This record gives sequence, structure tokens and C-alpha cells, in this order.
Amino acid sequence: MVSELVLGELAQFAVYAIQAVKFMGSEEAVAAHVDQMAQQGATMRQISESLRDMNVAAETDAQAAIDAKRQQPS
Amino acid sequence: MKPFFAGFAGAIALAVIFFAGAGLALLAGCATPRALQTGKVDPAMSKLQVQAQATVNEARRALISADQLIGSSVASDIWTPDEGQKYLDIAKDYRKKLDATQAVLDKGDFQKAISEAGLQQVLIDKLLQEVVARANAAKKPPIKPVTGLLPVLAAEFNPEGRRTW
Repeated sequence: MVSELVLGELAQFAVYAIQAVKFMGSEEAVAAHVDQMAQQGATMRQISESLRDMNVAAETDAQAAIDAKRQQPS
Repeated sequence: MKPFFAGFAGAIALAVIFFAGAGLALLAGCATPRALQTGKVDPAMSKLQVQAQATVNEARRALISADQLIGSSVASDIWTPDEGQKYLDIAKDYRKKLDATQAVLDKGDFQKAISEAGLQQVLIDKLLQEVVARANAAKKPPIKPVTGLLPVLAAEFNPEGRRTW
């Protein structure tokens, strides 16, 4: 039973660590995307459009995650 | 003896994961993202226009991070769907306001655009900070199979009170 407890805690902390990495990764991923566009000669306005698309996509993904969770039996 | 060693090894692994997780969370909370590149700037663009567009772009980046954190917090059961929906609705509202600011910028009212974009960036940064703080505060969900260390330890002792491991 101690092992079960330890495993439960391990799993939970792993989830938080993944969240922290995801958060740092998302900020950096956006910056890397912008770097790439800038290197390819994109204008400031084009970069803005692309960021808007990413905005809408992130919103859609978050909504899908919420809807999926709602449909899961508790 | 075997379960004892398994528990001991688990406890060490737990400590390693705990400090790694705490370190990562600290980094996530403290790290300031590097400024976004502006891309090719048309020489005809005024300083105000460039500044306004850069502010809109930075605000959009913060909003993308907030959206992603909301989605993954719900998917990982750190938040309930209702909690996530509450913050996502605010984020959607901010995105619409940013779109409106972009329209103002495109029409050439740079002064108005820069003031709106600045305000929105502050609000979005505040939302992002709140989302991160809420995700951190919700870090203690109940562990399903076992509810605490004391009942577990008690169960590990036999009725005579002797340790079984």
C-alpha cells in the first residue's frame, strides 16, 4: 500500500512537471515560429496574421479539451 | 523486506521527481519570455505603427500560452471543465478585443491602436498570471486509492501492533 501511495504521488508530480514544461515550451514555440517566419522574410503584418491563426487554433484545442472532459463519465 | 525496499526506492524517486517538478514550476513562473522578432518592417511604417503591431503580437503570444495552459490543465484533471471554461471565455473575449484593435491599426489610427493594445496586453498578462497561479494553487487533488499516509501506515501494522515490513 505504501508503494501505491508513492506511485500515486509520483504520477501526480509527473503531471505537474509536464505542465510546467508545456507552459515554457508554448512560449518558446511561438517565439521560434516567429523567428522562422522572420528569417523567411515575412512582414510584421504577416506574422501578426499567423499569430492570430495560432490564437484561434489554441482556443479551439482548449475548447475541445474541455468538451471532451465533460463527456467523460465521472 | 521486499515491500520495504520498494517503498524506500519509491520514496527516493518521489523526492527526485518532487524537486525536479518544483524546479520546473519555479522556472515556468519566473522565466521572462524573450521578445518576439518584428519581421520585415516596411520603411513607410511609422514608429507608432511598429510599436502598436509589436504590442498586439506580444499580447497574442501571451493569449496563446493562456489558451494552451487552460486546455492542458483541464485535460490533466488539474481543473474541472467549468473552471477551464470560465477562463477560456475570458481569453476568447480578449482575442476578439485584440482583433478589433488590429482593425483600428489597419485603418491607420495608430495612436488609438497603441493605447488599446497596451491596455489589452496588461489585461492578458494579468489573465496569464492568474491562470498560472490558479493551476499552481490547484496542485493538491486527492489521491484516489489512498487518502493519506497515516491510514496506510496503520494498515501496514498487524492487529498485534507489530510491523510486517
